[in-house]
Amino acid sequence: MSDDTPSGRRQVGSDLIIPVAGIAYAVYYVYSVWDFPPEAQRSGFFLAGLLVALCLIFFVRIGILAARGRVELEFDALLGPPRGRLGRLGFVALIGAYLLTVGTLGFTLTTFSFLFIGSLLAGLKSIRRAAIFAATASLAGWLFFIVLLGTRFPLGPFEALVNMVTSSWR
Amino acid sequence: MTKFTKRTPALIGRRGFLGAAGAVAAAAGTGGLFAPGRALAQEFPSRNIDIIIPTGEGGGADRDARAFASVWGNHLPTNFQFGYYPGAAGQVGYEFYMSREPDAHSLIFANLGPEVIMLALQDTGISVGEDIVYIQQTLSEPMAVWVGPSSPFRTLEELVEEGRRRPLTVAVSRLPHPASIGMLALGEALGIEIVLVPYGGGNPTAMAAITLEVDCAALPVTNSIVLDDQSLVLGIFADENVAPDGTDNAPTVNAALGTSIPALTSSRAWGIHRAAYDAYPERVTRLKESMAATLADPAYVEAVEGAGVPSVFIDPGDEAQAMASAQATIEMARRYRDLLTGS
Amino acid sequence: MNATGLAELFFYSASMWWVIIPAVFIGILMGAIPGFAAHNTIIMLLPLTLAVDVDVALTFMVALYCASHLGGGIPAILLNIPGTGGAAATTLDGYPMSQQGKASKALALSFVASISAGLLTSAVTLFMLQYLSQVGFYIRSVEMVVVMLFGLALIAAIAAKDMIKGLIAGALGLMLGAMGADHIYATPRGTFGILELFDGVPLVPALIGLFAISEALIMLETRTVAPAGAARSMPTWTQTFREIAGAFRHWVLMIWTSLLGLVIGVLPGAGASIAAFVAYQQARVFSRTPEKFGTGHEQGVVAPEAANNGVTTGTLVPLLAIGVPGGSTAAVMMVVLQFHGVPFGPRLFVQDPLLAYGVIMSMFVAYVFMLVTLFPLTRYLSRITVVANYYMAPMIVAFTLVGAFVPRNFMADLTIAVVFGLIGYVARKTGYNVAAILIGVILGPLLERSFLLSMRISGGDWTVFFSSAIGNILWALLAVTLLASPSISLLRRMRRKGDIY
Repeated sequence: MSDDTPSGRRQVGSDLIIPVAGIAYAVYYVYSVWDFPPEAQRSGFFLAGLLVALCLIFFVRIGILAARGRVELEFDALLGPPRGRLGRLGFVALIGAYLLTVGTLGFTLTTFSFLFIGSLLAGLKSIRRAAIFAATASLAGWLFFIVLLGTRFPLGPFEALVNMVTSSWR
Repeated sequence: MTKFTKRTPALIGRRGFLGAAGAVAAAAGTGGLFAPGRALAQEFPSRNIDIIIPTGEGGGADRDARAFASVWGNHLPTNFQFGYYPGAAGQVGYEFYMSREPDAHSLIFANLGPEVIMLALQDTGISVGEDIVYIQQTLSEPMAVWVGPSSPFRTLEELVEEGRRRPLTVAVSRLPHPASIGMLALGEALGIEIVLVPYGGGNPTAMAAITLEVDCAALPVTNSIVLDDQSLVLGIFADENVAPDGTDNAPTVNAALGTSIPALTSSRAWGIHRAAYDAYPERVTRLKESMAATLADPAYVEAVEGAGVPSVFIDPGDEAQAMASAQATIEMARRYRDLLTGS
Repeated sequence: MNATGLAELFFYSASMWWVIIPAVFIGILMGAIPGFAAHNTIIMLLPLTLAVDVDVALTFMVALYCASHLGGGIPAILLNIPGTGGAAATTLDGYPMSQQGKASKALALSFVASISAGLLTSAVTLFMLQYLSQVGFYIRSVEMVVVMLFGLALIAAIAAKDMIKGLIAGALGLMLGAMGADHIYATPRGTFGILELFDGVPLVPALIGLFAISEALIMLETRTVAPAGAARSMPTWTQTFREIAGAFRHWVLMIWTSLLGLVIGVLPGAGASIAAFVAYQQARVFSRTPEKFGTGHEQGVVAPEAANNGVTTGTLVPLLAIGVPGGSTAAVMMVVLQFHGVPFGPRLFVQDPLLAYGVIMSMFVAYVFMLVTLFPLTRYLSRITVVANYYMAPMIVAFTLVGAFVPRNFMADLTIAVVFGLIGYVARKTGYNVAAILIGVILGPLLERSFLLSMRISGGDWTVFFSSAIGNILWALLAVTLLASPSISLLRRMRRKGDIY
């Protein structure tokens, strides 16, 4: 179980997330192959059965502990220590923002913004150092991933500007 | 037998290598950087041509597309970028291709046989003609049934004889494939049970036949030609064996067994979004002209042979011919729908 | 091949030092960045390899390939992020060693195991190529089912700490691995209609999510990877030398796990991940101290690293001996050979033996050159663990997301990586082992494929799985493996209690 509380009772709320999500996916999977030929179904049915059975055993174990009053339904363990919790949640949100903007802003600008805000959220105190770090790392990343390796990662305004400048040289 | 071009005897020097490395790095990097600069010129192509290959790298489509592109660059001055999108019998590649900007800079290099069958049988929402147009056919090759060098079967008759005693296991690349249809038709004609075992690609299929995991393999004939003495071709699903040297002088299936199975071929063809075809006719014309010029270029024959494919399989065909090949394949797929889909 | 021929071949390959050295550096660097690895890097550098002579191209690719397997272990040890799937098992003990402030020791073990395995297996391959190529004739789909089960047995071992959670993690991984087109009819299953999942769970985004992103989120809770009390200064050259020399104590383990890797590498469709999982599991079973595995045990680093480097030579065997590539990196090499009009398979040995044997010798020479990198890498890289996590965590996320994108160029793979990152984070925080999930994701589809092929070939007859001598031997070994650990522990317990002896 995740954590023992001062009361001596174990927190099990967050322990249930993986089994519940697993069962939900197993049920969806079985639904998705319901009309398929047997060869396409067989392993899915077997695995779904296995996963659900294991999860049920786990629930029974927790149920027994709950009946004895030795567990409590808390999700605290999931969020880590209270210190810096808000920053960590902000970091997760920042990853979401990265996914939403990278297609438009391109590699360099998105990476710069992500590293700048991310390092501050992660506990770096100096804005100046965060800016230097973000600028250095994002430019190095641009040189390595985009210019040298030529990956097809989305290009944005920064890359377009560089293109314009380099084109004018030619 | 397959002809191979001779390897350059001398090594390139250190400076040459480092120079080439620098040039390639610069080209890779600036390919993206300078692209908009070219776009300003209002020419076609204004950027690199993206070639979508709906199978994995190192396969037959990759081999043939690269052979074509190595000469195409002389007739269409641009760079060609290859992208591999295998999965779900080609569905992933096709759906990904349909999601690309329809501006005639993205093309799909199709293996008409298996892919058109897939489009006909799977719920992709992509329709040949309505969503995608094949504008140029490049190569056509027949399907072949073959065995590994240690196989106990040395002729098609011996294989069929065994098939009368027990079901024959046949390695195929995938179920929706002309080679699979050929074997099913053969089984139907002779009253023998054929068990198709799909290995998910030409290379693992070949390996299954060579290691005797299955009785034989059915694949486009080039696969066995490239394997040379690691394969023994037993029969060809065609009216005539046009490449006897590379195929152990194998007979056609119909000649060996007295059947009347239609010729089963698969053609490589360049496909383009219908939307791009309609919106940019002048670009499509430019593509077609440069493709036709490539096919007529003796350097293309060399490139094809260099890749291990007999030049006799070069089969230039215009849009009408490519679309007719596709339509014929759709008809065939419908006939064998139940066996190929397990329904 | 006589001694003169061998020496000639060695010097011929060594004369390519100007190709091998950059390839080794690129390989180590790219191997250490999840998502790039050898296969994708070689594809990206294909214009270069197609432009130069085939000898140079092959030497470059082979050296890069070997070095990438060495590089893959570095982030696995230092940051709990495997650079390649083959290094996933290395995290199990490598990272705990870093957390205990023994990063340079873990790196020494990893490098020594990788290089020794590479040297040994390339030498073995050079002499026994034709015999090795026969392995495919004996281990086919039926036997592959058992080989996969050997790998899956690691889930049970990982689950030893909390059996039910470990098994749930493994089963969840297998369930996720069953996503995508089925192996027979190619119809997509359990994909939520998402095109990018039709070909199954993409391994690299899953790996990056489960290990890199989840680890970055966990890292935010501490200041550095190394413990607060760990030495801030760099190890001296003498200390580095001692650590490297000390790694050779495990020479027996290195030999047999590297040979295990070689044999698994020869099998088509298998690969470094399977080899590393199987080697880790087997090393644990036959160890005198199995209970120490997973806690920062030296053998837990040596076994997977030796095995995944043993695979590198094995992978080339089918291409060289038969003419069919056994894995994706070999398939890209085939593209280069085809482009240059060079035959592959047995004809290569007849028409151009120098090139054929030269490929394997290039591997040997590449590993010799890697020896040079051993000391500086061991000494300096361990410093990464004392870099502040407020720099490391954002950088890991930003750069590994590029790695998630590279193999397939799908933007959706970034989202897939983040989703797996969240799954990995929840799993880590609640005691479900992410390595067990990954084992399921990797081995599940391979197991299903081999199982379905066997069943098709046998006409649905279940006894096919017990129909071959090799298969039955493997079943017996699997049973021994599964029973050995509990039996040995029971004997030990009884011995301690004084019930026996």
